[in-house]
Amino acid sequence: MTVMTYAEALNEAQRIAMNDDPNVFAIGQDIGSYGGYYGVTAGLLDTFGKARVMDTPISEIAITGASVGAALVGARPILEVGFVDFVGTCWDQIFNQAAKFSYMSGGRARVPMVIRMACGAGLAYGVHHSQSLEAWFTHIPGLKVVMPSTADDAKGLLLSAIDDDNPVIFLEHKFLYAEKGDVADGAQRIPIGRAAVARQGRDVTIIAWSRAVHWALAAAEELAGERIDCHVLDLRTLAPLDEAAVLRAVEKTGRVVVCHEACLTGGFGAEVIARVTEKVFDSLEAPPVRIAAPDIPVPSSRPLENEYLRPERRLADAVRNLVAVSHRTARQRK
Amino acid sequence: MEMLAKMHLLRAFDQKVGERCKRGEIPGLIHLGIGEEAVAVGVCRAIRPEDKITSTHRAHGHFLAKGGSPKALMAELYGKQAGCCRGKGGAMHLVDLKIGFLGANGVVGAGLPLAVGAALGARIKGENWVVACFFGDGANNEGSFHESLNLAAIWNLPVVFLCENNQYGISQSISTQQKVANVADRAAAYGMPSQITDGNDVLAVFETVAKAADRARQGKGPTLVECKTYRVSEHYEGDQGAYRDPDEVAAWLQNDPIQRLEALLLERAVLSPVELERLPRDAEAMVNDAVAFAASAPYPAPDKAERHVFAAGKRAAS
Amino acid sequence: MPLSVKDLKELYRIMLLIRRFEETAFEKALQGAYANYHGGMGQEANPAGVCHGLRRTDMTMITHRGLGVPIARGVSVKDIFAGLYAKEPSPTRGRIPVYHMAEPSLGVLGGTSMVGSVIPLAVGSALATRLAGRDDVTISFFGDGAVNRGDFHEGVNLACVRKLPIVFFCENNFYAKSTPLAATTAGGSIVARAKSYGIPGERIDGNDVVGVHETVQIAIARARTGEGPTLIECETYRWTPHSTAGDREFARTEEELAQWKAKCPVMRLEKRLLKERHMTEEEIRTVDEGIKQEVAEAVAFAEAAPYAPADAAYENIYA
Repeated sequence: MTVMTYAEALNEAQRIAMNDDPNVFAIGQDIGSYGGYYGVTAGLLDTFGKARVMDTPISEIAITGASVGAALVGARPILEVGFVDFVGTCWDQIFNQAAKFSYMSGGRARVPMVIRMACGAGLAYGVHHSQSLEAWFTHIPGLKVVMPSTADDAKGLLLSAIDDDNPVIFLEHKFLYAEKGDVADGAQRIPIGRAAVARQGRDVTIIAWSRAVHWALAAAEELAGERIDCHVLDLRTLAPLDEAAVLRAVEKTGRVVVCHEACLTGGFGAEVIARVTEKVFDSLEAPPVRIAAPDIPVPSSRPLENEYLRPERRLADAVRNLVAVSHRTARQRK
Repeated sequence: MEMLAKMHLLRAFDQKVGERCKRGEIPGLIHLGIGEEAVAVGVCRAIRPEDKITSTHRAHGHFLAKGGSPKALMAELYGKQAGCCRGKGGAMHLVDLKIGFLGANGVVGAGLPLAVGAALGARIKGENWVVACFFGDGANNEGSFHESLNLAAIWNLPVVFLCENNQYGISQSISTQQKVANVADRAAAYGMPSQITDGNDVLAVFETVAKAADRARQGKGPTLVECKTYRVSEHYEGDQGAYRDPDEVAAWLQNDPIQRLEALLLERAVLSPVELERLPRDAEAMVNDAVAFAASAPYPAPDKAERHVFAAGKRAAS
Repeated sequence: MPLSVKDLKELYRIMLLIRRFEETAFEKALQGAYANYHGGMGQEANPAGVCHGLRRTDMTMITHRGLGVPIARGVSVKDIFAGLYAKEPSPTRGRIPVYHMAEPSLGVLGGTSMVGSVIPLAVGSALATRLAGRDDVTISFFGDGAVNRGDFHEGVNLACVRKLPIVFFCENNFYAKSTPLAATTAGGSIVARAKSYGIPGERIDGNDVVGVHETVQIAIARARTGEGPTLIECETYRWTPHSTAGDREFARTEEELAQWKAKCPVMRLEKRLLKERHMTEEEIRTVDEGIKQEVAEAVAFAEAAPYAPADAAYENIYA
């Protein structure tokens, strides 16, 4: 185990992958000598050279499409898009091309590519640099969607994503890049499609991903002092969803709060809750709860941005409320 | 001679498809390439089997010219399990990696970045493929055209950008879509060489593309080749749009690429009158076989719809 | 029309105002007063030269870099600092990063963060102008980084085909964040691309405010009389890194920066004004003092102003 930041963990994963397989290459804007917007590709150019660490013009359509084309013929690109907010300019190549080649070729073609994108608010960057758009990607069959919350997960999941023969959308919360954590040495993969229990608990289940996992753990700490024992499930992968883990986690406590940073309406929390109510309704002691950002573009002024980020502050209360509601319901049922 | 036979195959195929569409046997949006056979055939003959091509929504000719099986294609159009994409792709989404056919595409201009990517992939993998990228005049005003040509030029990639200028983007004549008269005029913006050629003269297409492919193979970078041709078919089967001047259509019919090659070969006594008769009949027979095959082949079972959304497993042998 | 002495003095004043603004905006960002700033120091001749003489109803559509255009069009530095500091008195009550600002009454339609994405918007503005039967002009600002974007291609082509009243104004400062022009732009020339669309192109010294103004005026006249768009490439340079937010300086040499600083657009006009005796040293100092005062007051205003309350986050989502 080594302590390193999330960004460093991602760097190491790319290094390992590029070392092991000459077909793996990195491509994106300012990733070469500049090392990427967040330093995630720092030093890769020196090690692997221009032929495998490619700086590009500002041409998202061409860069994304070129990554797809290269993948089609057996190369394995790791494309960096500095802000998920810019995905609109790459979008056709992602959802119509990359996502559909396997299907439309009847399984004869595959697109083994990873698209790394930074998401999330909290740095006052404003409307076009702060969004969390994971829900869009989960809606497209053919795309896998991964959102690690820790440095260790980041490394293991990125290695798996590069291994995967499908297009993987790999979303990194900007706030997490500097977060330090224990990271396994070597080239251990963490499987895509498997959630992880971040904290064992008995009373309430909080389901979260990416930065919200940290919010959940902080809330759990606070609530432990009030004898509310939270069970925190980190999805890690949104698509394909580890539905079994979700249902188990909910059945364990009968109370669930889903927390994410993205806007409430159409957010991925809705999908999680739909599945929970469809499949383990009887185990629920109270209606499920979603805590998410309000449906607004992300404002840049700090106090206004804090309003957007209110899910962090509201989570603990939501849990308390849920406990209260479920007790009431239990009493009523008696 | 091979090229003539191939052109006949393309012609017969698309004519048959048109006929079957009208009968309701072939579903979906079908875009025929009648009149444009010389482009597909000339280009594919000028590159090697291991070279790749990307295609457009008007893809049958490209597919067959690259060596695709008429049976597999017809079955795919019919939506059958035996189709080249197991019935899942259909006319606009054909893929056949075995023949280096990297995809027809439903999105105009989407093939250009893919072609650039395939060339990039060749470099990563140390292969010396050339990629021929088909696109139409309509696509040259897409942002993807600009970005792809720029990227291929700046990275010196082995791509031949092949504009099949059939004068129309659906109903819009090229003169209403851009100010410059030729698509080839765009190349200078990227410091890229360009060539304009008569797209209905299969030998001219062949020679021009062979040179461009050679350049690419020698590491000298991409070329933009513009083939002037004409779309005798309507944009898609069932298109009622009467937006073209009948005189214009008639004039181009006089310029038929098959007739021109036949005339040339007859003149040079390379083609005999017997063969002249035989070739279209052979093509017709091949196409009829394909139809018979496709019509009688089974549909995929409904549960197949959920397969192949994802590629199975990891790191398939590449 | 040749520029009068009055025009020259005004150009100088605006450039100096932009310069002093940029210096302060950059410095305050580095001090952490606000999250980020994409400085435009060194490129003042472009907004000043372009915007001089525009009608209120001519539209200028801007990029993320520098706030010279809004300043040149009459947005007060007070409003701009309030916006940078994201305070209540700013036009959006602090909701947006300032380069997204829109002040239609002054002909400013804001930039976006996606490089090049403003170009089609500018084309739309020109289209609407044509539909309304007016001869107003739209100026579309963008940098060298934008010219390889699909938006550029599609926008320019559309404007050409319809002969729209637009001027495509490229501030080529040779770097897209850290990536130099030679690594991104095939053919090596931005102005050369004009021909491939069928429009005239001009490459000029972007640090010569008079040259910028005169070239743009010719393009504007063409646009107004229905002759269609022009592509203008201005060679210029930014003195500061791409932005202040955690931005590492990129690999450019001290010599390169020094060479360009020697071509400072403000200094060049100042020298001319002094040489031709249109202004004295004393007058220049006075103007500068006045400007510094204006900027300092604007900063003080912004610093003292309150933030908007949380419910301001919910306004204007829909019209």
